[in-house]
Amino acid sequence: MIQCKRHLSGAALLICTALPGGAHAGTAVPAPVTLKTTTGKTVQPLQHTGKYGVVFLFIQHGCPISNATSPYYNKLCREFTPKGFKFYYVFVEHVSAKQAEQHAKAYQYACPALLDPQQKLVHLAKATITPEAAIFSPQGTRLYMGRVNNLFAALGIQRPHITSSDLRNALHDIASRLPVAHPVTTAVGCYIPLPLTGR
Amino acid sequence: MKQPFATLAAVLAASLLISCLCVKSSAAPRTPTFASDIAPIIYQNCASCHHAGQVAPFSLTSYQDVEQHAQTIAAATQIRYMPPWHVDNPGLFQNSRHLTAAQITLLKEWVKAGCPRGNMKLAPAAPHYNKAGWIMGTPDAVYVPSRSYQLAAAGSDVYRCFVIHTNYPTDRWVKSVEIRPGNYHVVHHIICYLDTSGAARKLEAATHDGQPGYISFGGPGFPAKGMLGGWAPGTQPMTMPHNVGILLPKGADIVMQVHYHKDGKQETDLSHVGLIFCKKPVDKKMLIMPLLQFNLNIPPNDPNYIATAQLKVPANVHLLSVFPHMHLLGHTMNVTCTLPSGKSFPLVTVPDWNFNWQGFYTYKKPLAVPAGSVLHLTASYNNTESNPFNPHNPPVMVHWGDQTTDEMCLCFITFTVDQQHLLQNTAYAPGQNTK
Repeated sequence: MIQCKRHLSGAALLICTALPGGAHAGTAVPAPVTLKTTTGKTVQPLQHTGKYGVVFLFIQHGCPISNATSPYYNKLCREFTPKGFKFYYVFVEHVSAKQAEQHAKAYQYACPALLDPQQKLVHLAKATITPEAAIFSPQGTRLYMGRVNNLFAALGIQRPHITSSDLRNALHDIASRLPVAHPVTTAVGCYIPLPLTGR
Repeated sequence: MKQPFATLAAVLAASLLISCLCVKSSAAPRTPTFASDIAPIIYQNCASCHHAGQVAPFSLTSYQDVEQHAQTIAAATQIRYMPPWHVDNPGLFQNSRHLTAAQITLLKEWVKAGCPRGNMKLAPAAPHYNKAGWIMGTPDAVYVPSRSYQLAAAGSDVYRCFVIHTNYPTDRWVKSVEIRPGNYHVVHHIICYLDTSGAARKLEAATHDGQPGYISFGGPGFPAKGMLGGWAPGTQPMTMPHNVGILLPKGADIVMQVHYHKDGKQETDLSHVGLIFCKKPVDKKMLIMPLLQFNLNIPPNDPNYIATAQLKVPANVHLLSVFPHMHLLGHTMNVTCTLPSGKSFPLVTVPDWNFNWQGFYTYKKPLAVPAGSVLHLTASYNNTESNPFNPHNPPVMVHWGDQTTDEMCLCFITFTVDQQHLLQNTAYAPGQNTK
């Protein structure tokens, strides 16, 4: 992509950036990440995306803001899966598959949940907070990173109503083949702890 | 002639050396460790809620627990979201969880240093908590709503009032009150009011959503006869001082207002209130005075609307506790007492009001306030879009009222009257109605 920048004409560069994966010149296509779902299925979520990409919501089962966000994220799963996106929850902590699956059932997850105890996806997306959402293109480019919406203005400060539906807006932009207007937003929630193996 | 100068030079050199050593020692502060610095803060101020089965979402009763949530702890304490203690009067109230600026800095520095353990042999023992039991002792009576409340998974917070009939044929005096949430995942706070008018029963009868109780945001929806205290995370049972009782009038209903925070899944709750009655005759009744300003006209886009109220104390009294109350536009509240001598002292200071964290603050020792003293209340309101709690978008003119979209300006103050001696039948109290 750097060569693309140096040698191609402006018109060619425009085409290059308009293509999925070319929007962020210099972003390396990530190596395959293989994870297990809470039901034991092995998946490569960045390799098998929807037509427009894949959406991850990084969560911790003990984070109240993560849990309070589930119903809204479930709605987005139901609404945008038929429109060409694949959705996942991602447990970023060291939690057993059984415990995670129980949690997924309790909160009626509308999409599969991945276990990421080594935080491979966390590092790839550069997530630091739960709940924090990331959208990757089918080519592996990160298109959005940040909050799901602005229901929580800060820790302990919950608005009466959502006034900015950031993840929904990003999904709309991508499905409309537009650049994401606000590709990075600041999430509010619980910091992601280091993985146990990293201590 | 040279010797005095030599002595002086030696003294100066020694002083310089000492000051250098001092500078050197203060320039290299010790790195805080869990064992010596962090465990005492966490165990004393956080663990009572942050342990298994309690209200907090995760435990903080070991190094591993604390290290795992270290960054969140540093962030939450930095903005004084945690521990939940929303008044700024160190040393004035019981069970204070106020962290000093130095403690907050220690937490931050510890996280910055990579959360070192230190010598764990020096660490205080992790706190041990007994399984659910009444903290105040076995209650004489336990009241619960008629049935469980079913809470939806998502949506706005709910303020539900449950009407509990006590059916006592005579007045009772209450010594201690302990309120216990039935479901720590969703119960945010509870306030118990008393009703002898039947108003709460009518409000419940007029509610047809198939659930017990009725919805009411600000207060209980009627002028309450009294209050039985409240619960918020970290609250200890309320026990009256010697010879003091809370009157539970005959036939009164307890109206338990529960603030529910939805947690993403369907939940049920059945909260309890336990009472211990006075076993000895009561000499003084706990009374409540509201210090309030009804005349609220908060214009849209005013970031700092000020409301004030004052009240002249007509008798010698002792103040027991305070309960500041505003709604969603409230920003600060400052209540002070000016004695007849002109001397003033704070009764409560709320630097950054949060409706979600309201409750009673009980003085360490009842405060003596002589007749003629004046209680002053000053509250500020932010009615702009910059206030994330603002229920109106765009902002509109807001007045006094019970609804989420209305405002209030009041501070309940519980007290006893010095001259009241029920045992001697020389009762004197403005507006009292004791037997």
